[in-house]
Amino acid sequence: MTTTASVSTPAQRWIDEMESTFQRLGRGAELFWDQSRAPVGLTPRELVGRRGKSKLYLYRSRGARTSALPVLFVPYLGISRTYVFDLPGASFVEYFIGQGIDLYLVEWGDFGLEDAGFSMEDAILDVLPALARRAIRHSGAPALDLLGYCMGVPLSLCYLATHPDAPVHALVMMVGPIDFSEGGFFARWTSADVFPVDKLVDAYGGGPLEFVRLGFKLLSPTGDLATLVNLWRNLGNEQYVQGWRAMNRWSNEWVGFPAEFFRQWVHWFYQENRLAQGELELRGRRVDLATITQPILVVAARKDTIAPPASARALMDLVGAADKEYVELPGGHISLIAGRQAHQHLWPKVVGWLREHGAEPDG
Amino acid sequence: MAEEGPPLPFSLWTQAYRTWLDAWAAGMGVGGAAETPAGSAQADPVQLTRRAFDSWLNGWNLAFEQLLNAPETLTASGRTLDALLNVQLPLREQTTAMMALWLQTLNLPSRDELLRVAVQINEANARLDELRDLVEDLSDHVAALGAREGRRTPAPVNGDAR
Repeated sequence: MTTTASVSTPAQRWIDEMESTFQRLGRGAELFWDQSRAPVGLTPRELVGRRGKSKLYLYRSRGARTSALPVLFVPYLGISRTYVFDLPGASFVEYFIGQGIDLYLVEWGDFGLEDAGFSMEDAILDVLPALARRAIRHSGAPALDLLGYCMGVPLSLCYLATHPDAPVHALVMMVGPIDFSEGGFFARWTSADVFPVDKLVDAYGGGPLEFVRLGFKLLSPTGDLATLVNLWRNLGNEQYVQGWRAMNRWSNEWVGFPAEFFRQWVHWFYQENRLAQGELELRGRRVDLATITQPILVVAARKDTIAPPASARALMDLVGAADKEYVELPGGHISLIAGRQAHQHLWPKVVGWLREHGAEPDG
Repeated sequence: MAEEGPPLPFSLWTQAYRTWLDAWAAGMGVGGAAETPAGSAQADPVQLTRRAFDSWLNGWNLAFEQLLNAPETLTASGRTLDALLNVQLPLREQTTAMMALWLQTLNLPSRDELLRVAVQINEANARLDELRDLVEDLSDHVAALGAREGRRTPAPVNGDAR
């Protein structure tokens, strides 16, 4: 059915919009003057271990434990804060513990100039095994399920490939870049002929915050403006505003890389693609992904520009696991796990898969 | 049938312009918008304006992305960064040396000296962590031995961080 719109209808719409604009101006001014920091990372947690600057936190499950095995969550090193996994209203951590699963989170820490010598070998062969052992000992469980996110995926896989006896039961690898020849924008920007990584590290004594920030901002050149426009449109929606404040805080707090680690990350992974080609060696130990035989779920995000689906999917052909599943979910690199739709897609998928592949609850 | 490729910035801007015109038509209650099904967002001039803006902005985003990923831009930005670092490196070294001289004159520690202390603290921390792991391993072994021999086992090390 069609109708002839009366002349007053569009006019009324503009008047409504003007009224709404005045209200939003008021709320926008409040936000502008509000100097308080958005509350983030509110879920209670315990510090249960540390190795150097890296810490291991436990988020205890709520109610009865439904999984016999705790989960060790390994995110990225450097780049940004891990409270993005515990934003109010979009908390991956909260969802997990609400499902009756103990979650151990690795926080790699804030590295400074004094950590210039901290290398990939230190992270993979010293810190990660020590924190995994700590989680096992603390939980009293015989093994762990391992969750990797972003750079935490290659780090976790290198740990497993160099520690065949690691007490890990099942793996969920989320948006992890594996084949860096399909590495998207970052792979192009850090290619050997255009990115003088050694000089940069020598000049700044590490992977400088300014470059990390610039790199991520350039992934979506008009992203900041689009975010502000969306905020303006949703200023009347308090839930949206609070979500924006939390995400805005996170997206402006960057963490630099230790010098040696950054150098190796760019050279070995982005420029030489050693992991996918089976040429990576850490202190003389070859990283062969085919030695990884645990059940594995590989998750990619359709709009991911940091770890594009083609890069993440490559893991399926490289691991030796017989029980493996690949899933591509809607969203981008961050929105997949911390976005407004995450509770519909990623979170239930991960928990469901872990349940299917998990050990029986110990009661 | 030809495969549909990614949109070009120009097509997004054209789309933005058309939607913008529709928004104006809807806003003045004239043109095709007046014949739009009731309740449809198509007839809402505000929604149409927003959609036009989004298309326009997406066009710019795509244009910048294409520009940033063009081989020429990558080469040029790489050369610029290299040139900047070529200037910055010796400049930093000279500044550091000069600062160290001034701080020495004032009998204050230089950055390198502070850094050395920080590195030593790091190393001491790392040794402590290793020792702690060792003590825990030993404690586990003793507990296991005790259990095997049917004796009372020592209490496991408590789960605090240090």
